[in-house]
Amino acid sequence: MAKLSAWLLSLIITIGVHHSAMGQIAFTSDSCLRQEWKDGVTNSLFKLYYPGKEWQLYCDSILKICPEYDYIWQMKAMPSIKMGIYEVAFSSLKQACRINPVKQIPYQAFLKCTFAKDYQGALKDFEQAEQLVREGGIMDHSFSFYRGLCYLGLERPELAIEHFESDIKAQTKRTGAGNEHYNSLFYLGLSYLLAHDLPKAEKYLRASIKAYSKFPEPNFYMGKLLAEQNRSLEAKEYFTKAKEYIIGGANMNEDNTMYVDYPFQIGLSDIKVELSKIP
Amino acid sequence: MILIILLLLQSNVSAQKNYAFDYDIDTTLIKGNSCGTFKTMEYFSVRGKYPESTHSLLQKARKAIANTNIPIKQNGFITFRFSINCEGVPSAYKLFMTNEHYQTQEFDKELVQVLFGFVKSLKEWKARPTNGKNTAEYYNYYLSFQLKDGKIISLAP
Repeated sequence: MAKLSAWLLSLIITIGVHHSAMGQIAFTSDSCLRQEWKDGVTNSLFKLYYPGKEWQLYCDSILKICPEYDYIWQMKAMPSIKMGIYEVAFSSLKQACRINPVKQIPYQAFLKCTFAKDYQGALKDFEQAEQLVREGGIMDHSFSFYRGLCYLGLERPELAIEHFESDIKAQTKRTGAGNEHYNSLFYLGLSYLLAHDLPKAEKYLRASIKAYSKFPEPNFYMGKLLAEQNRSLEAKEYFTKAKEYIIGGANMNEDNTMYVDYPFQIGLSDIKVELSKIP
Repeated sequence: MILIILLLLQSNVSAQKNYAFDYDIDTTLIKGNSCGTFKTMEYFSVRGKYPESTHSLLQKARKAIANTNIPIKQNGFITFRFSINCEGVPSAYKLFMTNEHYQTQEFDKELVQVLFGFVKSLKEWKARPTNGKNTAEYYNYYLSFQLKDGKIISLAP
C-alpha cells in the first residue's frame, strides 16, 4: 500500500494538478519555500476535524512533499497529545524540534508540562528553551511560569516559588505593579502555602482574588489556609464562594483547561470534602 | 496560486501498539440501549471532562496502589483510552504503554490490572455531554499515569 501511495503521489506531483473535494493542488519545486503555498495548505488543514484520520492523512501528504515543514509536524502531533497517544505525538514533535528548535522546543516543553504532565521532561526542555530564547514565553506565559508549574507538579514548592517570583518580577517590570496575572499570583500563593509560609501565601492568594474575584482556586486555597489556622467560619466562607463561582462557570481562564487540569486545579468534589471537615 | 490537498497516504492517528488484548483488558464495546448513532467524539469536543479534579484522582490512584503490595519498578506512562456511551458507561478499553522517552515499553501485568481497576472504579462519567451544536452519543476519554521512581507522579488529563 505504501508503495502504491508513493507511486500515486509521484504521479500527482509530476502532473502537478489534482482535484479533490477540498480544492485543487498545484505543486512546483519551490512550493515548500513559498509562504502563499504554506498558508494555503494550512488553511485547508484547519477545515478538517483534527482528531479525525483525514487530519493525519493531510499532514502526512504535506510532509511527503515538504518534510522540513516544522509547523505541519507540530500539527500532526497535536491531536495525539490531546488524546493521550504519546508515542505518536512525541515522535512527530521530535522532527519539529530538529527542524526549528527555537520555535518548537518551547512548544514541546509546554505540551510536556500541561498535557502529558511529564514535569521532569518539560523542565529539561524549558532549560534548553531558555538557552535558545532568553526570558522567553509560550502560550501567554513566561518559561518561568511553566517551570514553576512543573516544580509544583513535582511537589517541590520551594523551587516553584523561585520561578513564580521570577515570573512576577518580570511582569511587574513590564507592566507595572498591580497588573500581574492572577494565575501567576495564585500559583505563587499556593506554592507558599505548600511550603508552609502562611503569611506570604495569604498575601499572594489575596492579590490573585483582588485581580479576579470569582477565581475559584485562590478562594478555595484561602479556605484551606484559614482552616489550617482553625479559622473555620472564614474558611467556610471561602469554600462556599469557590463552590458558587465554579457553579457559575468561572475558571482559571487558561485555554487548555478544556483538555487538561492544571496542577492543583479543583472541582466541586474537592470543595465538598473540605466543607465536610468543618464542624 | 491557491492549492491544496493530497489525501493519499495511509495513516492512523492511534498507530501505537495497543496492549489491551495481551494484558486481559476488556475491549468489549457496551452500546447503551438508548444511544443513537454510533458516532464517537473526543471528550474535549463536547466538554466531557471527568467532573472530579485530576489532583483528587491522583491522590486516589496513589492510595489504590498503596493498598496493594505491588511495587512500581519501571518508569514511563500507562495510558487507558476508552469510550463512554450515552448512558455514561465506559467500555472498549485500549492500553498504551511507553517508557519515559515515549517509546513503547511493557509494564508488570499486575500493576496494570491495579490501575485498570482504579479506572473502572470511576463512576461519574458525563452522559451525552454537549458543547454548542455537538452532542456526543459516545465519546473517547483517556487516563494516563506517569510512573517514576516507584510512584505515580502524575495523572493526565
